[in-house]
Amino acid sequence: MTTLTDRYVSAVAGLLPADTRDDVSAELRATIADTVDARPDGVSESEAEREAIRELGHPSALAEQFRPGGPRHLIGPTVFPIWLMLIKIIVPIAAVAAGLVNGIAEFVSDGGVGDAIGSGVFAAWNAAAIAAIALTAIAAFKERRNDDTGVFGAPFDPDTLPEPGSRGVRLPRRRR
Amino acid sequence: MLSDDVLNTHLQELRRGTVVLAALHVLEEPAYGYWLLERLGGAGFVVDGNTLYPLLRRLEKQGLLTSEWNTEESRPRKFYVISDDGRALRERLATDWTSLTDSLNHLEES
Repeated sequence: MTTLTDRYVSAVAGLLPADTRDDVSAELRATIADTVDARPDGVSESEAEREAIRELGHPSALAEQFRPGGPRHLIGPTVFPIWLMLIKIIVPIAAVAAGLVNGIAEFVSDGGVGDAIGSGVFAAWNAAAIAAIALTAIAAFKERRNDDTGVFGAPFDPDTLPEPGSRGVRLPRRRR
Repeated sequence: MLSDDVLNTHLQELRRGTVVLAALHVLEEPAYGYWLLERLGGAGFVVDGNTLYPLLRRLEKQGLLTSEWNTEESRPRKFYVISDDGRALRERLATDWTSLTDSLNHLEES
């Protein structure tokens, strides 16, 4: 019969790199058993087991902590603002362009206004989704490449800083 | 009015590194995860298991601890103990801690 501990340990182990799986599993098992043994009087074994496991937290969260390189992330704080800026610019442009082109093409080819709108909306939605997915994939790739080249994270050079106000942001003038 | 959220965030930030220092002190003698958790908690370094157990592995991977499975007792347990690199780090961290305390006292006096 499998216990709650078996189920938990196997859920965590399944998310770990193969070379650490057995060792982490055995240690986790001993730790849960030690915690259960130290339960206060009057608490049943199964209740203590459930509580110990609840405190260790969601299997995927714990497994992430156990990863040799620490927790992973898709897009980190350096790449994130550039990703967000590109999403805000490129996704609407892609959606509008694809919507207009497809809508007009549909209107010209058979003349139905309803069909033209439907086709335009469908194309706009598709283009927005593809643009968002592509930008996210590129940003995640750059995050992993860990280099300082290209649009996502060129090396910071103070000389490239724009003049205040040139991007629409006005800084208060320094008082003399 | 100081909110609990703000207070807890800053306390957590301040204490983050001290668990490593405390663990490196205690692990002069070999110990296993749960025992260390209790020992640290009793000494005032409250830490969650899901933070401490992964931390021990990271310290081991960094060569600051070594580990060995003890299978002599009824339950096999992984025992960690400090390495020479771990001792060197502990001395360095302890020195830094003292000098930070001194600096803070100087700031408060001036």
